[in-house]
Amino acid sequence: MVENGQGEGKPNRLSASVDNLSQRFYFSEQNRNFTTQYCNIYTSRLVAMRDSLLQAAKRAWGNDINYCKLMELKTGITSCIIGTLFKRMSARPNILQEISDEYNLIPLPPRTKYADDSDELVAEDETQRISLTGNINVTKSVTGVIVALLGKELDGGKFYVNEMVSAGLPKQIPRPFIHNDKYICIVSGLNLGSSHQGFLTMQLFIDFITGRLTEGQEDRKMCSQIVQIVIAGNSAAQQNSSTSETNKANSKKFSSRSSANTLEGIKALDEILTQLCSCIPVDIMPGEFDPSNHIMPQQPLHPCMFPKGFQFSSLKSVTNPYEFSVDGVRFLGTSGQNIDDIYRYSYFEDRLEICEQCLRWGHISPTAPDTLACYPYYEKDPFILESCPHVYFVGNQPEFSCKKITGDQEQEVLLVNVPSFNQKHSCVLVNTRTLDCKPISFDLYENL
Amino acid sequence: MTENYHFPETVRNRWARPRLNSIDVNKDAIIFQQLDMDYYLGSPVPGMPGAATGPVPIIRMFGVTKEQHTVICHIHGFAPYFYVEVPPTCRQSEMREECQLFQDDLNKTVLNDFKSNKEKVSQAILAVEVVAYCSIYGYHENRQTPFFKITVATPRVLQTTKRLLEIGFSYSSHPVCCYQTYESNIDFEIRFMVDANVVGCNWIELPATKYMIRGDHAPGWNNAQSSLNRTSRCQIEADIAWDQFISYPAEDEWQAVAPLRLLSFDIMCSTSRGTPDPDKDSVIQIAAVVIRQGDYEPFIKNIFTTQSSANIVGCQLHTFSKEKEMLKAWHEFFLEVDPDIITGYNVVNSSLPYLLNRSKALGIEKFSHLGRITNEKTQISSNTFQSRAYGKRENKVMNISGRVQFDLLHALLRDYKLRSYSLNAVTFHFLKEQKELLQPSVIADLLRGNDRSRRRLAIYCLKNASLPIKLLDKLMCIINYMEMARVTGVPLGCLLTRGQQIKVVSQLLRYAKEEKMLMPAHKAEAGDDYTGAIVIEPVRGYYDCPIATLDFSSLYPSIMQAHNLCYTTLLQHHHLSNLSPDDYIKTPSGNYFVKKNLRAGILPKILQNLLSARKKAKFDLKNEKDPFKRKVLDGRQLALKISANSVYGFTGAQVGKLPCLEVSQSVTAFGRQMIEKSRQLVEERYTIKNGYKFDAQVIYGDTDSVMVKFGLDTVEESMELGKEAANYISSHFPSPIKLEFEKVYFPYLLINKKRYAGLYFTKADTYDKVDCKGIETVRRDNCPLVANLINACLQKLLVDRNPDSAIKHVQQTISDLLCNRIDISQLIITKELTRSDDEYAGKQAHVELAAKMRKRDPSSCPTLGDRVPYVIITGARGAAAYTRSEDPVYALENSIAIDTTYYLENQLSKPLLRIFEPILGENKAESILLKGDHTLTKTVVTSSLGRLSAFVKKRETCMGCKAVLDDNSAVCKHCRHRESEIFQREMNHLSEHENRFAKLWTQCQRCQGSLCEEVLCTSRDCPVFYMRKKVQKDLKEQEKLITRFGDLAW
Repeated sequence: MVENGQGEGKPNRLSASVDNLSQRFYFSEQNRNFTTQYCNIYTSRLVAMRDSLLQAAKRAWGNDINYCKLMELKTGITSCIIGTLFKRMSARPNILQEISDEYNLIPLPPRTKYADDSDELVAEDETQRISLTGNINVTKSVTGVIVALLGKELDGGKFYVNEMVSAGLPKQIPRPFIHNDKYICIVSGLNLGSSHQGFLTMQLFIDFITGRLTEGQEDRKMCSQIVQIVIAGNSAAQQNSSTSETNKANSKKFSSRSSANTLEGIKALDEILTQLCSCIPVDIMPGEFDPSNHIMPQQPLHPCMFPKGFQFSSLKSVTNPYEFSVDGVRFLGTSGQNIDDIYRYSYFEDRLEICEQCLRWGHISPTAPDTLACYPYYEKDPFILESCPHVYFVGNQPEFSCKKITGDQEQEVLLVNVPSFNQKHSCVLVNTRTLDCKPISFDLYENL
Repeated sequence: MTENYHFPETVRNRWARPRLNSIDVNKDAIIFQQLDMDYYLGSPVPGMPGAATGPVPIIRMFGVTKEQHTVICHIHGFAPYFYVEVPPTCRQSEMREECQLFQDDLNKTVLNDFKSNKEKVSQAILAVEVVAYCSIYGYHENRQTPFFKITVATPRVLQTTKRLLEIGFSYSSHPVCCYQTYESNIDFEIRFMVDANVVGCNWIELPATKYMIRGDHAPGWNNAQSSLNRTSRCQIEADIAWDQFISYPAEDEWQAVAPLRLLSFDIMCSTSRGTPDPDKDSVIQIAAVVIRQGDYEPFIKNIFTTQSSANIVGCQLHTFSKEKEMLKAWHEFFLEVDPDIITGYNVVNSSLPYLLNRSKALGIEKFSHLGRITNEKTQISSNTFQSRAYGKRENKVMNISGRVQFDLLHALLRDYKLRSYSLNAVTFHFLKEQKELLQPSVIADLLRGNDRSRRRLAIYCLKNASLPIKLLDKLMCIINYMEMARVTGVPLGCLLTRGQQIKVVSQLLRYAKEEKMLMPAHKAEAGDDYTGAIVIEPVRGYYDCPIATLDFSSLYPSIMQAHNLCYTTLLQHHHLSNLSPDDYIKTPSGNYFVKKNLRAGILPKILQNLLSARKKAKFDLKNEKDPFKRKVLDGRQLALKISANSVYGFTGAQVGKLPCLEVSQSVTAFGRQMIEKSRQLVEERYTIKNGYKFDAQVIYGDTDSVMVKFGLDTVEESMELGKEAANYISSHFPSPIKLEFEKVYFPYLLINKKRYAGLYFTKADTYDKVDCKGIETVRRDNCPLVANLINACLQKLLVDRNPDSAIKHVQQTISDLLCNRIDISQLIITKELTRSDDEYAGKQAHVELAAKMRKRDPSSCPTLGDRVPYVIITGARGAAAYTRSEDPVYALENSIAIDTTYYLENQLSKPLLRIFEPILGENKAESILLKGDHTLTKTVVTSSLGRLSAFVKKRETCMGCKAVLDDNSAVCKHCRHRESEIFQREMNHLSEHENRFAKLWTQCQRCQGSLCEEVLCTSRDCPVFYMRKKVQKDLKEQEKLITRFGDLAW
């Protein structure tokens, strides 16, 4: 093993204690079992979240609310119900159509949004489901969210909603007091191996991290304060569209679908990781296009693909989602699939708003398993937000953006959308002391 | 009734029909839409016309008013009758006396013939009178001849009388004579409808003062109270003479449809094996959905069940401790909600008889009182229905007076050709939804479970009951059938239980009556068939240029009209001498018919009426905005079209009521001649010589269309020329024959007679669809792979115009097939198990399989009437295919190898060669498609079953080079440097499987309509069923491979 290189001219880097808190996202090899069905994850989600919803409902509407299960509803009596939302969507892609399309070859027009004005909401608990109407925003609700609803059943068998509350931010451990500015660098969407990839910007990024780019005292100081890099998915290039045509036939053939560009990308990534790890700890998360499994939670990228990088103990391959703490500051992040999916199936335009909603819903990825593929968990739902992070970051987003939100129990969370490096040529630095956040751009044309 | 179940008042009010306000006979007319009609024998009612003694037939008409009130109307005074020719020996001068003699003697003979006079008829023959009519069959120079019109006491007497007259009868001193009877084979109800100008589902008015109201109604009713007792459950029960009511033709405001109540239901029985037996297996649940015609949502959804279940929103749940109680209560519900139309999926042959038999077994006497007549018991009998158009079928028949039994399954069997008729398949086909299907064993488990699991069962049952309503609405069945009933004049209930003939008979009678003509009673006997219609041999090939298609609109009807072909105009040879040659025509088939000036035929008149009504309906449709009225009009025009076409069929039906081969063969002969003439006209006129760019060529002529290759390059030019040609040719034919230009095919693939495909243009700029005739896209005895592949090829050939990509696609698919990459659902062949094994002459795959499955598990094997899905698996060399059929699920679970060669050679090759031969040439097609490199690689699956597999010890091989490994690692040392690449490849497969797994199982979760309930569906009509099973297996195996690279989490 090679120790963290602290060669000459390089900044004397600070260090931090980083703990991986993502145990719940790991599988050991025995327990992946695909004979279970998705109903179990919905049931466990509902059971696990019911209490916090009930409390939220009591906070909002008083202790004497008439809470009942759906089957106990009586027409016309105002009651509080707790259930999973399900959105009926006419435009949702459907495997049945896909199957027939495979043979009829009528391409569906590609869409960026599958939400539609005709969508309807349904609430469901273990006992049954009921259509919702009234004071409820269909366009900004998604399937899988657990909510408490105050309203009454109408004659026609629909539930008229007066008000709706969600679980809200869960409890947060207090943020430790930290003396020094320390930065976590988050980067995503390196997209290595793609044809339009800037080698130069990549090199600039490496030089910046390793301290070779720093000019002034300020810069050098800041650089030395970066204690950890997190690569939030999509390090390897997506299959580009020209190859995907031929791959349609090939995918059936099960010939090597891993096209040359991914292979190249992984090789290049290995080199880059080697350079980075020589001077700083790196956590690498898998993303949508990385050679990892498809369904959430994605398992760590396999070390056999990085024979050089894994020479360093400073390289850690981690899950997506990934939760960790840096000197006691809690980070939670994903490679972006969860937010992209909600974006597609709702009328949300602001992605930060989606991040905020997710936290307030108390769930990292409510649309899994419905529209986002996830493992069929049997007795738990690991995506429930059990404690509130201090920083919530999402990779592979179109733009950088960040904001701080607060909860009603004085929780404070920094939300960060990390742009795709390949498109925006920037990474994000998060200060663990102040929870300030800034993008560092390596765009050749903007900066130079 | 003290033993009634006590439903809460609110529930009852919801079910009940609106209260009836008082009716004043002197002021109020009763107006209703009649739906059903029957007759019974009763005693004569004073003041009514008809026989004054003995049993008289009384017509019962059931209907519904605009206000949803039910009406029963007893119609008095109509007696059955028929005609015979007056024998030549009859004294013309003493007709009155002759009539009397005839009547007396016939009466005696008939009464003598009765072995037991069940109906207690004292006067069999009510009247005999002489009328001047003529037979409909043949031209009689418009001379009317005397007929005896024989009015008899009851329809049954009519049959006896008819028989006696036909075998020979003599009266007074006349010699024995075998009489030809006329109109003696007409159903009594049809006879009545014709004479009273009633058509199916039309509106009837009982004018004020003309009718009597029965029963003790609320005080204050100013009624001439009838002395007759109420006999029915209808809200209004009235009596009227048969000539006193008004029957409105279905026009303008009378096209309306009353708010009829449709009840759809489904039952669930407790059985774990095969078909439930009503003597042993109890009914657990009955789900019912009731909707008013014209509404969007059902107003009642309920479940009757014997076991407690959790509530269902929007559905009333009625729980009973005992099955007997439940059935009694459901019966009460049924009577209270009082449906006009009973529907559901296969209710007539299954659910309804089951309920009846079950309640009989439980001794619930009153359950069989389902009809609107209070003391009538519903009984079940069987009836074999055979028709040229619909094939042979056995049906149960139940008498439920006043309610129409409209089984959706029967309507679909009649109107659509489908691969499968299971409710699942049908739902997917028409609504693009899948529906859960539960196995009996799963149902039994759910039943033993808790309230929640039983609730699930209830929802399942409810869905089965509500889907037929949805489908009826989507397919507009009720409206279309109602319009058909109105157009053809037969009762609604007839349309699903009878063939095409009755419709034509009803129309024929109506016209004949106006013209004072009679229909002879024909004895059915089989005869020879006559030549079909194809005329111009196809010039096979793939045409990459526009082909204009000229169609004769309504060809056969218009030929009959143009040439005045009819029973009434048919000339026999010996008549020719009496006529001038200008008065008749000789048809191409050598038959003679008189021209219009001598006698206008009845059939042309019927057709004229139908087609002009259709034109009007189409015109109204164009201008109508209201969606419901549009539905009615569209249904009407379709009904009119079908009816017009069935007239020709009627004259050709050998075993029909009145076949006339002279007419039908003349029609087809004319058709052939016209097609031939059109070809001549086109090919003579559109030539380079005449200044056109190319010599036109007719490449194919079908029954009523001609395909012309004008040689032009664009669709637009071809359209113009097509239109011109259509007008030009039309001018050479007598009106109303009209050649219409309809469409251009471009490109066009002409495979053979009746087999072609093309891209269909009606507008110059965009195509409408891919049109296929006679190609394996819908055939039911093929596996779906064939239809899908052919469809894809046609799409590529015709739409993309890329024969190369079509060929590639075929090669890829064949390669996929041989390498086992085709989804098993694509390879499933289904056949219906129609007879028990020993009845089948030859060995058949699905029968063999059914027997095999019975051995494995008698409880879940297919039974008679089920469609059996199977795949062909590999077997001993040379074993016949039928021995190698296997249950797809069994094959999947045990990794049994599919015989891919069988699929290639027996399923794919012929249809493929058929479409590609015109393109590639005969020999080349086979060598390119079926024998190329792509057929060389084959994957052999090792079964987990079988004797040998037990002895085989598997050792892992390197994923890079297939070298045998000593340990359980992923790659051998020589491939170590490629480990990353190999890993990525395997990981990609895993991702794909995972993705598929997620998509498939979430789809099932959505389809079953809940998030928290387990998916239990085992619908084999759904492609997802096999895929999701396969993907679980694939995932397990792929996961095993991945773990050989070392643990992911470390």
